[in-house]
Amino acid sequence: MNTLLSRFGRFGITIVALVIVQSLILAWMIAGRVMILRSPDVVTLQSEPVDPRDLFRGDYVTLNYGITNLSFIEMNGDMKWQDGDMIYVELTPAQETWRAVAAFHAPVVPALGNKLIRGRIDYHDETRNVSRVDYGIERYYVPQGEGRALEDQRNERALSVDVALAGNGEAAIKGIRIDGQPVYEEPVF
Amino acid sequence: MWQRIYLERLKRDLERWIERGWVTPAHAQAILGEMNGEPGARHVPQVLAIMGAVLFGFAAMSFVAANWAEIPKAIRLLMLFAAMWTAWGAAFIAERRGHAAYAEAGIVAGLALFGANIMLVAQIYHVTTGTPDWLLLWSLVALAAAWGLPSRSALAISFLLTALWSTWAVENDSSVHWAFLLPWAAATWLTVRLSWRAGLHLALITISIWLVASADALISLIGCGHGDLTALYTLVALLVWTLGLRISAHSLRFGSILEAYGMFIAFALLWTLQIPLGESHVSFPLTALSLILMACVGALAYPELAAKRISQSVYLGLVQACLPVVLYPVIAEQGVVTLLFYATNFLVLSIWLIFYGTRRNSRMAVNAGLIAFTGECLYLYFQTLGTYLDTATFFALGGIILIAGSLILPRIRRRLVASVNDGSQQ
Repeated sequence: MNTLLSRFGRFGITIVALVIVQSLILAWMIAGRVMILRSPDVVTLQSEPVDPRDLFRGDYVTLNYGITNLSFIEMNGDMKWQDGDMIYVELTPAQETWRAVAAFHAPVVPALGNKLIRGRIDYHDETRNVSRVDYGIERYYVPQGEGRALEDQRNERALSVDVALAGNGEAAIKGIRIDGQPVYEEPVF
Repeated sequence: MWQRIYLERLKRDLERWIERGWVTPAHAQAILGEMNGEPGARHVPQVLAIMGAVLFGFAAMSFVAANWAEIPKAIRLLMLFAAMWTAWGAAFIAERRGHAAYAEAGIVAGLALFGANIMLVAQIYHVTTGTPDWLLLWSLVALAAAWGLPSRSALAISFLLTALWSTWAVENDSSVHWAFLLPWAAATWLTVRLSWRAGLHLALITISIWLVASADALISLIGCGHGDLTALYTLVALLVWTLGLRISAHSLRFGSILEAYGMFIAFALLWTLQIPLGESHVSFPLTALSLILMACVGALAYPELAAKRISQSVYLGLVQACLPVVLYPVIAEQGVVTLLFYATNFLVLSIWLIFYGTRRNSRMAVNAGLIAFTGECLYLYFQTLGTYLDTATFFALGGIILIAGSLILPRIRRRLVASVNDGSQQ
């Protein structure tokens, strides 16, 4: 250590440490996403139109899903919710896409054939027992100027999204479908 | 602007010191020569290099935002990783060769590229994060760089990112964002360790932003009204002022900054107490907090009184400034009574501030007291007469007061500043 200190000085050693720490943080972020994208658990979610005032903002398309707004009265599972709660939503296949059937505060083993997706309650309406949920997959980044076409497809309900799920329910966008046909698959690298 | 004002004052002082034989004309010339150009010239390359690094950081972020599909993701990632490593490498080489300014620019670029890389990874994998935790991560890395290297630019970046993180977190969550205080305290401690005046300004500005952003959450937590919280913040500002007085005895560099912030914020908030600020509630947490803060002001200032660094009247003035603030929940919402009570209090304290300035040889305090007194007189004039006179009479009277003030106040100011100067010479 002393030899290193005398050779590179405190400045040099700190820089080496910073480069390693920064690179590890970024590598950890990348590895986390790569693991989800390589997961065999994939569900297809129907994309819903969003408020026209919230159309293409800069370089990403805002995505709303059928499972974004949940009415707990129409579902199984836990009933008491508040803003900021972590939520585990059980999904079941319904024709070509998947829909929510139950919601829980903690992870559960889903029924055979069903999957679990993790989100966080963005806004809860106490009177109607309805929540808006963020799953971390609400933005699809596109090259500058190429978002409009995808938005039009989304607003015509022609757009659906393949979502990869990790064991803990964390979600990542894996691909995009238009009229059920895959048009874009996210490469891992 | 401050440099020019300081130079003019220094010239006047040097002329007087030459007359008294304390400084030779040659020495005075050398001092003025040093002040006139060299430090500024020394700072130019440093400022340019750091600004260049900041622009480079923005370029990287724009590159990320463009989401250029022609380059495969892996290559894009590799490019930004390589740019980040290069920036750190450049910082190391520049430091080794004695180019401190370029080393600092390299550090800024390295940290900016780290942030850009976080954004790029989020973009590549379409990550939408509802929480600003990545800003905290970025800020902590900047703080680590500031501590390890050590680097003032990295510390400034850390302060800014911490403030951004907290402001975003408060928007997402309605509770008080206490977590902000930890990285803020660490950055402030490092500022003191690096003996960096600009850093202390950043620390005070960022904590002020946090206090403003946390206002609604604190109101819910304590169970008070907006006016009550303003009163509480006034006590905090008075405490900072007193702390500045204590620290001034050991470190004038930091003490004077704390004194100035505490004084200006306390007076600004004291002024607002006379205007209606919504509902007010007497509650135990509020009363307890107010009394504790007042006791802290008294206890912090007492050793200064005992050591005869402040006079009894200055001590009593500070404690007296707290009393009407502590009583705010009781006196608020009484209409004219509230206005008269706090307006009188403000006028008395403005005069006391002028007195405080003469005792502490502080022109800033004298000027602030005069401005506060004049401003309050005008405010009361608008409040009491303005509504009953027609516009012509109103402006005519206002004009007479302003002209009279313009003739009388400079004379009073000159007399007081002269007495301050005499005091400082003795």
